Amino acid sequence: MHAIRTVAGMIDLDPTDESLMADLVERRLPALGTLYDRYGRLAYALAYRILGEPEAAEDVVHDAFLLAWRGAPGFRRDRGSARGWLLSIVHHRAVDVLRRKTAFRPAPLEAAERRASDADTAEEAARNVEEEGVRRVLAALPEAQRRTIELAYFGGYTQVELAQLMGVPLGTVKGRMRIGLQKMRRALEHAG
Amino acid sequence: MSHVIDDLELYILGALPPEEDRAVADHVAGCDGCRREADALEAAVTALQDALPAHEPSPELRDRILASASAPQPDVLRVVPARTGSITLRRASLPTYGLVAAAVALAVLSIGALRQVDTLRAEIDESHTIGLRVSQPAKTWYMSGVDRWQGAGGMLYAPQGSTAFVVFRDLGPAPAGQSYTIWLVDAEGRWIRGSSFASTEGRVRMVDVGVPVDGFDRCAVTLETRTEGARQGPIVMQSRFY
Repeated sequence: MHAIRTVAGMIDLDPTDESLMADLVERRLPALGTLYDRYGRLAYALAYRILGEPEAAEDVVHDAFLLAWRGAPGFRRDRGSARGWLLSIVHHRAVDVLRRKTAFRPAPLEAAERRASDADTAEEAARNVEEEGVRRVLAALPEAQRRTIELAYFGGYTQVELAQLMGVPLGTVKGRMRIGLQKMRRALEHAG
Repeated sequence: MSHVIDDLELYILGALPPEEDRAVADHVAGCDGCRREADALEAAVTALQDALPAHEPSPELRDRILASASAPQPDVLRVVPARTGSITLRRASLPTYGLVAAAVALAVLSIGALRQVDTLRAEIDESHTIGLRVSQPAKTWYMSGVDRWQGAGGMLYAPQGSTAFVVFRDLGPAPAGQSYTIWLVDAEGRWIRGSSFASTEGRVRMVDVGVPVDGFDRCAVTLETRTEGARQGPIVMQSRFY
């Protein structure tokens, strides 16, 4: 379902993220629905990856979208994209929940399997190719760098915890992150 | 604050402690150079997100989010928890000071009318306070109604340095002789009793939790016949995680 905006007789069935955010500020509820339709699955996938439990992931996504609804007036386009802003809320909330549950820590990305869909459409197939490309970029990183990045982003570990977990100095943790992310950045620019 | 180039990777990946995270975020917001670098790094984070295996949330999640967001400004019943020795129910609409002015204009200057105006002004002031409480930055936990209370919900707010409270949605009155009780559950599964209250009317209520919430894992509401002692009644609503 798309938010419908009438502008001089035209109907915009595919509003930009910026216009959606403007609608959120104006308290237009359909815009929140459109934002969910656009990023809800990704938000859930991120929360699920971090927490590993569907109900907890749904609670986090619920909280995050509510925080976005309430916090829309504070969103600044010059500070990043709406997607980035929304998913950072999801990430922070999920990590916050995870850090309260010390027993669970998710496995690195290589253990997460993608479930094949019986209903792959051409759009999904194209997305699969893109995802596969990103996975290749990740797989091309040295294991230490990839593991550091995954544990930090999906495991919610701070740099101090990572240093303890991996048995390396803080500087090594920072270095692995920096070099790993720079390599990813260059590989993505090259692929794009 | 000096440039935060050295911390940007940690910041982008969420690996900084909360205070440092906020400091870096504040700096990045005001520094074009660090902002550009952070944006470039964010592409790598976007790639991490795009590589996630697909998982589908339940179809109900969308409606749940929209329902929570569309909850109207409530008629609020302010409840003093039973453990303080009394239950005082006062109904008020959220502040419209024009209403106060109208009430004053229409009031007949009799002792009874003046008392009514004073009561109304007190209720509106209190509703304004409640509205301010809800608008403060706070950690929140959502409770979903279960079984015959499906469709009801509650949001626990825990503002920093202030009393935690719950705002309920679509919670009907408790049966005669029974009351709702808020519980906090720790990681070991121990249930700690919070406030008890009996709703008699109104669709949304606000109740102080009555105990500190730090260190607990989940929250829940049950229907009890006693206002003290261990949990005995059915669960009305519960959160997944604290």
